[in-house]
Parts: sequence; structure tokens; C-alpha cells
Amino acid sequence: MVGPRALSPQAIEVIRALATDPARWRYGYDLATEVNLKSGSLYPILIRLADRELLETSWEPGPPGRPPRHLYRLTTTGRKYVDALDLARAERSVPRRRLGLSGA
Amino acid sequence: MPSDLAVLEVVGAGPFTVLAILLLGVAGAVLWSREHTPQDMPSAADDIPIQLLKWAIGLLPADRVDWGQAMLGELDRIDGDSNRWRFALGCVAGLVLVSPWRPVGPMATLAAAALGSTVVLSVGFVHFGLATDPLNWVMLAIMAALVMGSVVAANVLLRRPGVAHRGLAGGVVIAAMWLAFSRFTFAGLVSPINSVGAWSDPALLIAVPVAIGVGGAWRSRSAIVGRRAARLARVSAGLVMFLVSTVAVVAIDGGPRDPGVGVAGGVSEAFFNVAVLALLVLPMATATIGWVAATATARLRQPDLGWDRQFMSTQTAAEPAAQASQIRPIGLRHRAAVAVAVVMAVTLFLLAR
Repeated sequence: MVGPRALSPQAIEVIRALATDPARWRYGYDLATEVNLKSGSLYPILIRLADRELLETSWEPGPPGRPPRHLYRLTTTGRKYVDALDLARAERSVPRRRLGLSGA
Repeated sequence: MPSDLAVLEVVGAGPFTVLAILLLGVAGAVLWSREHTPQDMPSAADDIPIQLLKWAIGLLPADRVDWGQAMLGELDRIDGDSNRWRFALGCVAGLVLVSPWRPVGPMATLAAAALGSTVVLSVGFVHFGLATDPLNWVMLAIMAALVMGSVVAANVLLRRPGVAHRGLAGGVVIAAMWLAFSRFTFAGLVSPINSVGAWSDPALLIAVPVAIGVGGAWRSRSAIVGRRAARLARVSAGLVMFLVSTVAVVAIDGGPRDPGVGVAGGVSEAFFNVAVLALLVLPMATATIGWVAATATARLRQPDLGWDRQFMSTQTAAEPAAQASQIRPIGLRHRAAVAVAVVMAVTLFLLAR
């Protein structure tokens, strides 16, 4: 269930990046590179998303002697959250189009 | 800006005292080296970014350690020195600065003391017209760095298991001793150690840090907890005493000063002296002697190293407790080296009186 606090713009960027292919597991470093976030910002965001059950995590075992890697993807709740964000954005843009302010 | 000698005079310490503290530090280092097994040393695969990250992961609460392991797993796959450094430093900054600062009450108190001293310094800077001298800006930058460093150090230490209560209690003891030795006067606060008899110097520099180090290690049966408690004690006491001392400096216009030195010069020198005293010299003495005392106490009690290892920063739940049994006994040569270092330190300290 989504908590009462709204997500930060960076967190929304992260879940949108995850939503581009929601079934695929993603690595932290790849995500950081994709959304251009520093690791110190990305991991607190991932922790918050996981706490709010928008994100599920898994471990990928490494070769012998190497640490496992953590993987991330959106939960069903996370996907619904992104859908809700898209819907809200679409609704906001309707009055602007009606007024001829779409900027086209 | 005052000379180093002026600072030493305010501290009440001469070169002999400094040497004595260094010797005690050597004795502690010998004990510490016997406490650590070769397994504790970083492996060849552990470059500096990995070691830094492992240290910072030790700050995470138990229910977040898997996120630290996630960072380590990612760092392991990153190629290129600059990429590795960037990733590791980002994670360390996130863990040290961005994560919630807990426990909230003590951390807020220490942060308020730091902010308060900054406000008082700023007021003094403007009121006494210190901004005209470029050296005063250098002094202000040094003081700001010391205050910030103390706040970050407190944030790190407060999150270590078993450290907060012991360290803060030690900090209260140190601050109370300083205030008592200053006879609760502004003049005494500006140069606290010179305000009472010659016995105050060894009491503040030796007895109090020893009591804190021994107390922390004795109750916890852990040298690591004792050492961290001593460090937290000096950081927390330093921040509080710096606030009180800066108020004292402003209240009495810097206190007594040499003939020919104006008010601004006296205030500038007094600010610098209390900063070095509260945030550098006495904290270093407290940390060094408390560190030695904690290490020696834990070794004398021959603790179960497995019990102690839970406090090590890079410890993970997966590490086998079997390593714990590999504590190495103190050999005769090491005992002799420690004994000689302690005797020399005590002798030098007495010579300095």
C-alpha cells in the first residue's frame, strides 16, 4: 500500500525507469547510470521504495568467491503506482489542451 | 592567530606531556596488534573503495545490512578505478550523511551545540570586528572544519552498537570535570586547566580518559566498544565545551591578554585557543588514553573474541564464529614493550609537572 508521503522527483524517475520493462530484474549500478543518480542517492531511494512495497528485491548468486548481486523490479503495487502517476499526468494536461496551452 | 606555543600553554601541556601521550598510544597499538588476527586484515582483493564501503556498512542497523551487502555486490562488478571510487564514495556519503541520524535525541543535542557555537562565533566575529584580518578567516575555516568533523564523528559513533550510552555518559563526565575545574567562571573556561592546582592537568588528561576507557570496556567486555565510547565521549564533550567556551570568550572579551594586544586580537586568540583545546588537543588525549585503557582492560579480562567481533565494522552475520577462537596470547616481548612504554610515559608525564 502506498504511504501518505509523496515520492521525490528522483524516486519517481527511478520507478519510471523500472516501469519501462517491469518484468525484468535490474542491477543497482545500471539503474544509477540510467537515471543519472549517484549511488548515495539511489540506494536510499531503493530502500524507501522497498519499504513502501513498490519494489521487490532478489539476490543473484555470484561466481565462487564473489559476492551476490542485488536485483530490483517493481511489484504489482509499484506498477499500479506508475499507472496512477501516468493517469494523473494525463488528467492535468487535459485542461491545458482545452485552453490551447499544450505548447504544440 | 596564536602560535602553537600559546595553545600548549593554555592546555597546560609541554612537549613531555605530548610525548607521554604518544608513548601510551604506542603501547595501545602493540596491544591492538595482538588483538587482531591475520584474518582481520583486508584481503588482496579488497581495494580502498571496498574497505571504505565495508567500514560504512558497519553504520547500518541490523535490519539494513543486506542493503550494504547489495552495495558491495555492485561495487565488485564495477570496472575502472574512477568508477569504483565514485560509486564507493557515493555510498559512503549516503550511509554517513543521508541515512537517518540516530539516536535522534543525542544527535540533535550535539548538532544544536555545534550550531550554537557557530552562531556565537559569528556574533563574536562581527561584534569584535575580526573580519578585517585575513588570518581570522583562516581560523574560522579551521574551527568550522573541526566542528563539522566532530558532528560527523558523533553521527558515526552514535550508530555503533553498545556505544551511545557509555560514550555519552563519558562525555557528561568530561564536561562536568572541565566545568568544575573552571570553577564555573568565564575566565576559567577560557583557560580551564590553569584555573586550579597542578593536579588538574593529570586528572583531566589521564585519570578521566582512563576511567572512561576502562568503564566502557569493563561493562561491555569489549575493547572495541570501550574505544568507541572513549571517542564518542571526547567528541560529545568537545562540542558542548566548545559552545560554553565560545560564550565565555564573548562574555569577557577574550579574557586576560598580553600587553599591547587589542580586544580583537585577544578575542581572536581566545577563540582559537578554546577551539584547539576543546575540539583537538584534549579530545585527542582523551581518545588516545581512553583507547589504550579500553584495549588493556579488555585484554586483561581475556574476553571471548567471538563476542567482541559482533562490534567490528565489517562483521556480517555470515562470518564464521570459529575465527573467534584465534585470539593470540600476549607474548613476553609484547608485555615487556607495553610495560616499558607505559613506564616511560608516566616518567615523562611526571617530568612535565
